[in-house]
Amino acid sequence: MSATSHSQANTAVVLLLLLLMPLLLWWFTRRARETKEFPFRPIIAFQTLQGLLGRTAESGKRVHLSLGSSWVGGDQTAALAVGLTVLRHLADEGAALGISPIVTVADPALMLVAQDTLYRAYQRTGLTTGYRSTDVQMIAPDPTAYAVGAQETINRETVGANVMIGHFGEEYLLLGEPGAQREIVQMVGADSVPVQPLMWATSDRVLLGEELFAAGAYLTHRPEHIASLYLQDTLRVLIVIAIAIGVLLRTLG
Amino acid sequence: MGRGGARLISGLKRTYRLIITVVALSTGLIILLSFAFESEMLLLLRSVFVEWCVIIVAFAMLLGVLNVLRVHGQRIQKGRGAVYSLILICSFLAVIIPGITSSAAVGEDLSEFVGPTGSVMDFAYRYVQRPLQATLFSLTAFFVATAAWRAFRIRSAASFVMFVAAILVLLGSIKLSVGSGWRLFTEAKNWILSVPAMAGARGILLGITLGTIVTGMRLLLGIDRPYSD
Repeated sequence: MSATSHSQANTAVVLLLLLLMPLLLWWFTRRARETKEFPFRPIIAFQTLQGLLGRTAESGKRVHLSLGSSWVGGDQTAALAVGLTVLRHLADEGAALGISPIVTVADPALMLVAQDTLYRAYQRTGLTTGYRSTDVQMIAPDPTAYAVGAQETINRETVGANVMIGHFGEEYLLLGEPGAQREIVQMVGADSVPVQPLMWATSDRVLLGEELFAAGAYLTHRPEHIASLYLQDTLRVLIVIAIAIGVLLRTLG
Repeated sequence: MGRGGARLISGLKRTYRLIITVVALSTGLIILLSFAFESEMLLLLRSVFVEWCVIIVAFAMLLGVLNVLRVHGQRIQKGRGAVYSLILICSFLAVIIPGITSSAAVGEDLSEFVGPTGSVMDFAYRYVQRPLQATLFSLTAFFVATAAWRAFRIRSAASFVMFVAAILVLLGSIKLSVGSGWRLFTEAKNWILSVPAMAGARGILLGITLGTIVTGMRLLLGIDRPYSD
């Protein structure tokens, strides 16, 4: 295939996705609005997140949320958006209790977004005096430096739970292992394949692969998020069928 | 405040939300389309947006630095880990001051030391930051060992399968020639790595890719709006 026709094929695929996916999303959203009960598979990590701040606060401790070492606008922005959904959930819970999570980030732009998310949570409860901008801490832009800096936060006696959501590279163990050694409640979800076994080794509450992207549906129960989960599963089934047909055709020659 | 005032504020908030959503969505769409179509107008808009983005990130970096100084300043005040925070602030100043100083401001004698490409910055990067990074990263080897020790405790059927697979892979990786029977371990290792491990990794990758696409679509359609309520 020539370069031009390859580029044209790419354009066609993008256009098709741009047209088809919003339509499918709209249709699934309508279905989700009509359906009252959703057959969610229980995921222990999301169950842990419910009421986590309150439980941790009872023992006089706080929750640390790591949003990973990625940057806004980078390749891992989708995982970062999931991290912000989790932050919003924790921030709402924290604003009602007057104890917000300690959030660490590696990107200064993400720091501003996280501060805004936290502030808006306080604004919704009408208790903006409880907001402290230093609850969101910029550590360092470099992934290793970030992991070491955030590790210091996790190792603090005042931290009773550690939530890590976003993109992590090989530096993940510097973050995950101290929490596992201290045996604090630890929940983790990352979009990087090589990190998946390391997550499994350091936590019992792991979001494997695409489970990470189900956070919105599990935490907010918004029809649009449930619809996107349906869409994700439908696309997966279509890909599996396509692979099966491809294998069959290849086998039959 | 009267009912009319409350309605006005609510209307203004709605308009504000609408404006920023429209700006965010149209920007996202233009960037996406610029990758799909070879249009000069789209490419020009993309480069303009990227330039704006660079400026915003530069300012955000400044705020990030202020955040670091504020957090560590508070720690020094409270006395908790004050020594480390003090070292951090001193190191920061020792690097940033020569880094932002213009060579014209210090005269010819000191000009080679200052500026972003000066010898102070070079020294800090080459002999402090890089060795420190390498040292800290090498710690992960010990963390891998403790994590593996914990992972191999047999707590469930899945842990048992993982344990057996790990043992077979370890045995199959031994390069010593200890008889032809050993080939079974090597073949088992190759099979584990190329069939179940590869299938699992690809399955996870596929799931992550689909999740990324759908989340991107949600952001592009304004369903997820991290920038507003």
